[in-house]
Amino acid sequence: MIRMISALLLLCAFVMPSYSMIDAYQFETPAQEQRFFELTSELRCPQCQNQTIGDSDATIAQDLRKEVHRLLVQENASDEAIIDFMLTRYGDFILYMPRFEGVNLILWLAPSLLLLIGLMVVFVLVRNHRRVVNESELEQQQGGQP
Amino acid sequence: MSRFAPLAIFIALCGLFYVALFRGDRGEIPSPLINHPLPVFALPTLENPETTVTNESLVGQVALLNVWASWCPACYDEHPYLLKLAQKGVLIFGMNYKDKLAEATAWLSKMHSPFHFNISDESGKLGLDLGVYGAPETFFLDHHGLIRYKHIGVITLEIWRDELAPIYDQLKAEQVKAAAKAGVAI
Repeated sequence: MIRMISALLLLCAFVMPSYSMIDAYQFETPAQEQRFFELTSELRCPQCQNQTIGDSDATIAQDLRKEVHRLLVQENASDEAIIDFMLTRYGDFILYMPRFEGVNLILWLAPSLLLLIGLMVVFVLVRNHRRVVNESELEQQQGGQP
Repeated sequence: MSRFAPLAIFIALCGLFYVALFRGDRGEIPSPLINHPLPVFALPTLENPETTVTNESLVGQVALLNVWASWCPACYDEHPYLLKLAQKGVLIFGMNYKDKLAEATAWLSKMHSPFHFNISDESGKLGLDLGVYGAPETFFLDHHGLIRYKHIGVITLEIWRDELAPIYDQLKAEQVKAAAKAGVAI
């Protein structure tokens, strides 16, 4: 019996720490809960910049989660309004996905631009190479004639 | 000529990486509140919980708004230098951020206060509106009450001398200039 209890207790020890988010939040609808999890996984923790506010245990992340919950449930705010709320306070840094505007355009467009330049370089190289090959073939043919 | 193109590109990339690596970015988040007025608030002061101060109370002079708390070890480190700045005549407002009233008051009476007064933001609501994510943080206000600069982390003699004093002096100069202009108009 004691062995069983201690085994159960041991099991508890393994189960307990798996909750990283310990705050207990009440939601009015499952959809609201879903939006809460989506929003907290899109917003970046300002203090520990490689974690979302949903992942992080930093105090500021806890505060921001609380604020997202308050805006969602008490103020009935839309996703855009909540993101905007965070943007006016913490700026673009708070977003994991940068907005498609302003300086961020470099981030969005540079990869395709670089790819395009790369393709153009390859195209030019191949064409030049082909011309050289053709010319040398021509020379060989001409050289081969008596 | 085109033979040297790869070398040129390589050197350019090295330059870019070098600059990006050593540009002194300390992971600080630029504040979207720069050139904006303080958020609207009405909160009690630490010195006298009966009195209420608002965002208007901080407008009119070049000033520093220092966000601190008794639970913040770095605030303890920067405190002596804030006292020195206050002695030199720099107007500093304090914002006691998510702190317990008793502990904050004890901290101040033990270490002396460089602050003109302290806004007591026990709930952290004003901190959130200011985009505070760690203490200490210091906002620079111009004489119109606009936030002109935000410093994240401690203020030391070196940081003040090299980075912050020029900003403070410029804000002061703007105020003097505006006052002189108003004097002429009268």
